[in-house]
Amino acid sequence: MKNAIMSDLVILAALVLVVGLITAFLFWLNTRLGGWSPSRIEDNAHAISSLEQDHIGVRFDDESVVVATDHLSAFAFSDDHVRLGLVVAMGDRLVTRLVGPEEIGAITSHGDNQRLMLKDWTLPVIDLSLTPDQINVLKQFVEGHNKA
Amino acid sequence: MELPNPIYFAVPGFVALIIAEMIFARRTGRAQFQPRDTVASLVMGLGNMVSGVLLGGFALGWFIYLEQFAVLEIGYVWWAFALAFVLDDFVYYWAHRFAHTVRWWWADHVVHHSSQHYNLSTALRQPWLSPLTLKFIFFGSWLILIGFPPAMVVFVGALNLVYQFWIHTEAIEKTPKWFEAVMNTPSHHRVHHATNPRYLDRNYAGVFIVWDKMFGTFEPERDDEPCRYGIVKNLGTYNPIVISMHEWWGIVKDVSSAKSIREALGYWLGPPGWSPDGSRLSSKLIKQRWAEQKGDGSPEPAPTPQETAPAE
Repeated sequence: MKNAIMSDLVILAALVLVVGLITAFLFWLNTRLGGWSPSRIEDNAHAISSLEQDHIGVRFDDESVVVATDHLSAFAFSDDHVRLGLVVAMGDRLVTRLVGPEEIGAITSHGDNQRLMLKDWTLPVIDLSLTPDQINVLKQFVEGHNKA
Repeated sequence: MELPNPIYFAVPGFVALIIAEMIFARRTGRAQFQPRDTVASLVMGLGNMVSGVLLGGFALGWFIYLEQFAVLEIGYVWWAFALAFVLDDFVYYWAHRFAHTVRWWWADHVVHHSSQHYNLSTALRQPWLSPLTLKFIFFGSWLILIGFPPAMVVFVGALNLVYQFWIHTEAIEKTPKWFEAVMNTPSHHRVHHATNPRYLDRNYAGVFIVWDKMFGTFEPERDDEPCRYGIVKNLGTYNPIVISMHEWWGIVKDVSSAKSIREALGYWLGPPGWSPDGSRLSSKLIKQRWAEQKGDGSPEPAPTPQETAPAE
């Protein structure tokens, strides 16, 4: 019995190794072949359309849109300025979130960028390349909630 | 009677087809791969295989135990395989439908939908903890109780999954009309993986699309509405642990914050996106909002949720 379990575990380990090697090969092949481009947020309209596409029925304030200088992230407030829409480039796709101030853990400096920490383990950190004025807008959004 | 596992035999074919689709994608642009997404999907597939070996015994043990209560005694004859295949696909339709409408099972199945890409590697992006959801008891028992041998049920179930591999592609636009009418195809299944409100919770079929047509969940793919793949709240990570566990963790957090047994049950067994105050978005609410937005009219006005944690 013990031997049978051991041999099963050996077969399983060998299987994991083989599939692991296949995975590594496909990653290498995919990287070599290319054919995909890193995503970027082109402009304000792109940020708004991404947000409105993902958050049906929510309107965003066109004048509040900020696209980061590296075009890898953007934010905009909902029309009522109660929630913040976030757009982040990930691989060749965009990921969005619609959060209230209570869902933002902290805003910290990270090198030349600012770092937004979300209470969301599926998107815990967003690096933002923003001007000091732009980051202040975000800080006010969070601090306003904390004062309230 | 011992039957082979068709999935193990199909693995070399899976790999060859993924390579072929990658090359096709590069040459034509009609399919899309991104290396980290591809690896995440393959690692999820590897984990699924390991968990199948380690945890699959629970389901097999259940089936063998249940065999003594079978109504009929069906042997290993060709028509029994054919009948089991069709009936298994019928059960698959319902199991799959419940996997999208009961959060306990969605927490497991969401893994398969969590990529924003739709290619053959997405087919292998599978959950790690399926046997622990006890889905096999609720949906796997029927054929055994009718009298089909457990090995036959497992065999046709695996064949069903092998069939579903090739439909995870954008490389094939449409198959011949007669085939589209009866079988699940890449076009039908693209709709199933899309988050466009029109396409949400549609086309649950495994092999035969006729079940969706019979039970009112069929939606054809439209040329004027390209599919956007993924989940309503897309993941911002390729981490396999997060991919595997994120919805489970969401259930734990919600249930632990519930103010009553009813709320806890709703978070656990209600549809994904359910909340006691209607402040989150289920698929139904998303569709309702979308219908209102495009001016189709809707019998009831949608609430204005705070959307603190949208449904997936």
